[in-house]
Amino acid sequence: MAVSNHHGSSPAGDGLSELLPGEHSYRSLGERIGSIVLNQNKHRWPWYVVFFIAFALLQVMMLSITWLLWRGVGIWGINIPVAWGFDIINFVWWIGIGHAGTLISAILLLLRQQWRNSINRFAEAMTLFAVACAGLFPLLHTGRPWLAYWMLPYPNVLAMWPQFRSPLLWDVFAVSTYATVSALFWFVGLIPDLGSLRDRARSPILKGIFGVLAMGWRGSAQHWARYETAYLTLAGLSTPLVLSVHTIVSFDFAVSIVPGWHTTIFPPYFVAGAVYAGFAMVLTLAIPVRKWYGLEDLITMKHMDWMAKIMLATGLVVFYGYICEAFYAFYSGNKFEIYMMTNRMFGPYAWSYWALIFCNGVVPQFLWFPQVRYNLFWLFVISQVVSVGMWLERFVIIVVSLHRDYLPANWGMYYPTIWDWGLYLGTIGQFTFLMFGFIRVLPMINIFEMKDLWHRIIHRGHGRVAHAGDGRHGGAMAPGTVQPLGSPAADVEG
Amino acid sequence: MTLLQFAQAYLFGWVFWMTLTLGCVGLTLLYHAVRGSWALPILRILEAGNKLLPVMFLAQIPILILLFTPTGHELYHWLPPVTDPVLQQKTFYLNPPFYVARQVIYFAIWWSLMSVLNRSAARQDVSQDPREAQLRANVAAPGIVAFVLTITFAYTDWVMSLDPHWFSTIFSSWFLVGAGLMTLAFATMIVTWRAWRMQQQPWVDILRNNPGFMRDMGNLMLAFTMLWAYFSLSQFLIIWSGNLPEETSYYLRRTEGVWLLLGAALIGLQFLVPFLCLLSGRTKRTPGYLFGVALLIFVMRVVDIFWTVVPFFEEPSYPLCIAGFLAFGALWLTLFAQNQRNATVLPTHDPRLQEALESGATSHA
Repeated sequence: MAVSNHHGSSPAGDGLSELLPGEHSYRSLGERIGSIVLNQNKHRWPWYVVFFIAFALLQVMMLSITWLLWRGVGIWGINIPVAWGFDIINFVWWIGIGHAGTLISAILLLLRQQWRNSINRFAEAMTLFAVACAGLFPLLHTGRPWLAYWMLPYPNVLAMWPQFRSPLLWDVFAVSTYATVSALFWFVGLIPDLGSLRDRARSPILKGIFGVLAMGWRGSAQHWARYETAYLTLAGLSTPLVLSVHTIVSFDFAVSIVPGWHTTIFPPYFVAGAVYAGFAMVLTLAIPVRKWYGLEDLITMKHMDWMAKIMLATGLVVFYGYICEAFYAFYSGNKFEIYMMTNRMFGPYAWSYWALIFCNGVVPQFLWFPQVRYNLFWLFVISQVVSVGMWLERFVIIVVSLHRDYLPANWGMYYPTIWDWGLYLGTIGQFTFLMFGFIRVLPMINIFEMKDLWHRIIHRGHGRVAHAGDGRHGGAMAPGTVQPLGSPAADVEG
Repeated sequence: MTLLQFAQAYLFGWVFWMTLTLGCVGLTLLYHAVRGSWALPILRILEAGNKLLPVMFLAQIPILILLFTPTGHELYHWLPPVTDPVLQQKTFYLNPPFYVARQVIYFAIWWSLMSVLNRSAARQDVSQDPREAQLRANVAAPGIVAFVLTITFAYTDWVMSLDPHWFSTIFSSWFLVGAGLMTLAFATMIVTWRAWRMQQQPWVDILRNNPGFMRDMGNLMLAFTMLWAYFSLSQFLIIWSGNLPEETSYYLRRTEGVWLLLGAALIGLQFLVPFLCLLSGRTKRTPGYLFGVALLIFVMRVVDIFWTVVPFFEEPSYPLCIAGFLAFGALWLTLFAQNQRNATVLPTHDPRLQEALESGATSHA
């Protein structure tokens, strides 16, 4: 690589230049990413087409919600015995998708994984918007969302107190904490870039808006030191959230005694499934966006390869979960467990089980081959299949377990109505609408972290700087304490 | 002392040391698959452990023979004659010939994986051919899949079927996490002891020049400690809330009398204390501290597996169980030490050895 030839006093192969190939400068990096926000002419027809479709779907969501509030949850397909239908399926699906963002921003930061740098902003935004979609479903499923505050333990005259032994209540806390911490993490990470945009913007209105949002950021050494502490603290707080949120979601099912729900492997298998679905969504968004905005050297094939590998690993854990469920159902010798499994495989919803095995068990195995991981078309296709598969997984777990339980007299079928589909597709619209709105108004790639990465590529092996970088590997952390007043920091003006 | 009690003690001792062997197998696979430099200094330790697979298989043969004797039925109630209707349903899986066949398959898979990897690593010591590392990664990645699957069935056979009415889908993965934890603690103890108390080379240099090594081992133990707690709590909470008699029997037996104390000790000493110690950077910088934490973890692994396996037994002799553990331990450790003597201390020609030994050194230049 050109860079390592010029500056390579340390042997090549630290992999850094693979993450940011080609020739750059601090200024060019700032321009490239910042201009997507500041130069509105950069947005071409794909942006308008996607945004328009998303906006149309968002209206479908609005319509579905309005009708739902007017008529009540009876317009949905839920019934007895399947009292949880699309509402919970979609809640779990969306909440899971958000997890990749938290994993990338928090865990990969603590693990000092350099490759997270160019995708973390994007993935964190995805987390926020996915949680926004997820939150709608249980809220609307209550039937009277204006009374949702009853779920909070506050002193009241109704003699009401939430049931603390129910994981549904834990969900209220887990999800709201998750949304809060994710939003904070995302915003704190944005501050230096908002400062950069403020300085770069020409229009006084934009300067004003970014100026307020940047909260007086000047890029001083003290600011960077504070920033680092805040960011690391938030990363530490977010790490358990990656596990806790989906663990509690799995408890929603596992603490009951419904066959197909009550199984001890659920917590780790749900968490793995969440990360798996989340990376599928990151790939779904990143593959077209990097092409439309010419970001191939910032989000490289190396990034794609890493994400595909994580998807493969977590997909294997999920498939292992399916194998355990099936094996122990028969091993248990319990006739309800055995019936549940036979019903999944050969009952009226057998199509969904085998489609699930195809999507989550068979298709991801292609990711073993580097040729597939480095082929964007197939990677995109596999991501779609995985998203469908993870949706089917929740369908199988929820609907197929509920529709035939202990008492044959209670058995029934579940058919979603047009309003179930309307709300589901509507949230996809909302998510895409928010994502594409975000791309247009905020820098989708972390500008200063890319500058920092560039800094470390060109200063590799220069004793003091290498030490500073090495001590704190965590890409986000570098500008600040040890280096003299901000290589990337002072460079904010560009 | 009856034959049954002897068999119980034998089985407990075997399961414990087999778990350590499998921990060595699992970490060897993981290391070769991800090709990180963190485990390079302990690779020979892991290999010395995984090379005991054939011995452990031979040691299992008496248990397999026992399956065909009347005492076998007292140990594993699913053995014929089966009168219980629930157990009759399970004979498709739990029957002596299939059980024995499965053991052969497990060991064949584990041993073939290990011999390919160990031989390739040894070959690379001589040839210095970097392609060997890629070969090992290609074997080890799918190897992990096979390993996890076989482990799942293996612990179902060895331990879960001791109470054939009881089942828990997380049980085998819980054992797997515990195996990883105890192997990391075991390797950490060896390295820190040799460097810190015995001042042996090259361990002194490794610890001095590469502070990242102790930090990595400490962080890995921390991660596995948390995973262990997470898996344990998940299993407990789900079974407790379901409150179904066929499942709660497991915890009822383990909360009677002294068992309850042992269980409480596990929460404190297998999780809380190591967790808090390993959070601190100081523990991960000081060989003596790290040795202490690793020792605590290892001892608690013994307690934990005792607490898990022994209550399955009917009227066991506790001193005999401890004797079984010690006897197997003496055998295992002797053979382990012999394997260590017969190999180089470090994988000398792995191209990343320099990286592992000196990454700290260059960054502090």
